[in-house]
Amino acid sequence: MKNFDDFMGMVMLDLPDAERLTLKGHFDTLAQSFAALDDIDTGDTQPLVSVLDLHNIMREDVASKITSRDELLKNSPGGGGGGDGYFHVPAAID
Amino acid sequence: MGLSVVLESSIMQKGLPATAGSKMLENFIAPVDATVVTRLEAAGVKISGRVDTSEFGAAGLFEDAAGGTATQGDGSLVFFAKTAQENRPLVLLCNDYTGGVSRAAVDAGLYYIQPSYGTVSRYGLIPSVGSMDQIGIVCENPEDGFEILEIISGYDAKDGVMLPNSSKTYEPQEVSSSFEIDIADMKSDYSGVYKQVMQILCSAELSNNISRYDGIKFGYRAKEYKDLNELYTKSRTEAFGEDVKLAAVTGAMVLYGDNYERYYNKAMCIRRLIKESLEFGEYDVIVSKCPILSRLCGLPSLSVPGGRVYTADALREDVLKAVSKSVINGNTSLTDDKELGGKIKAIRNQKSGE
Repeated sequence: MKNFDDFMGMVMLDLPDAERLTLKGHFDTLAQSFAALDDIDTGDTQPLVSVLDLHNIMREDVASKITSRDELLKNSPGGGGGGDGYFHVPAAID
Repeated sequence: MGLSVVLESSIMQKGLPATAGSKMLENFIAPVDATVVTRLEAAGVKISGRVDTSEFGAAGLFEDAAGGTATQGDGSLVFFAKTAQENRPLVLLCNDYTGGVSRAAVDAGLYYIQPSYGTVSRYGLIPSVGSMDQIGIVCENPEDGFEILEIISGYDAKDGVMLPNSSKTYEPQEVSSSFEIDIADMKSDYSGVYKQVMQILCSAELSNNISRYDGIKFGYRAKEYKDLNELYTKSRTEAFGEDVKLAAVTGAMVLYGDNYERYYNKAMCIRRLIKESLEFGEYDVIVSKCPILSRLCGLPSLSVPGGRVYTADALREDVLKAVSKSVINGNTSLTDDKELGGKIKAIRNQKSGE
């Protein structure tokens, strides 16, 4: 049985104690309120994945230039705008 | 056109900051113009300012959690939008998937128009909850709001979830602004679980959508970290706010293992039951004080000062336009809360009932 801390780890969060306690309280309240769904009989009802009755429409596979690589790299916090054309990340292998 | 609009910070304008109200995107500069921006500029509408949304629009999502201590609506967005617009009538474009902005808007004496899902392009909108993300309109005058809606709506190939059958999906028709006092209870009422269904679906989708924020490609990066995993974790922990963290954890829970069937899949089934319970055809407008219905079902709605929310069938913004005229003209059958009694009701349009 997974608990709050397990789910927190799954989404890559590591909350300080005070914040963890506050959010765990909200989380427990939400989980209790979700039990209200158990009382509703959905029978053979299919899940509503999309509110629109759409079928896949494939557009022409034509390349288009929306923006430049340099422009996108400018938003990288690791110095991607430094001009070498790469995202910069810490070493993953010692 | 003399109108000008204010944009919420989740709507991109090329070269300008687009933060979606999050520290995670505090330094993010939009690389493109959103389609709504392109269309407004092409129509000569001035974009007069940008205002911060609540973080990824999540304010109000958990307002009932833990005794109501979580955030309530998004009044600050509306307040700052009014300031940004100075002495002009306010028209604000924003993504209000929780209904929090519309609540704040009507509290401030404003109107909120939620378009039919799939009629206004989300290209250039920072995504939060894909199945409900929809750019809507806060306005002082509904006429201004519907005028802007005509400009921004219509098919856009850059958004993969749009109604493709028309190049212009919002086409106002002539609808009588007289409404009969023919108010009826809905045969099936799932309003008791709207909130839970909304919270489950939004948490799941928002949790997935924000998984892209890892401190690598864009967004905030923690200053100190030992390795790649700590970079991810510290960046997300330091940058996300309380509502978004709660959505992330709750989303992981409702999607995990057996919980998927119990919570997420069940919420999607109830969402279908809710949509199928609406009896458009017999009635024209569903009336409630809850904006969630239109978000869950992808239907257009109009929230008016006083708190009433009128929801119409898909692509029937024309009916809502008629409702707005009727409300402004003082049709008390549409505004008297004694008729509503806190429940969801349906109203027949006089012309279509003939």
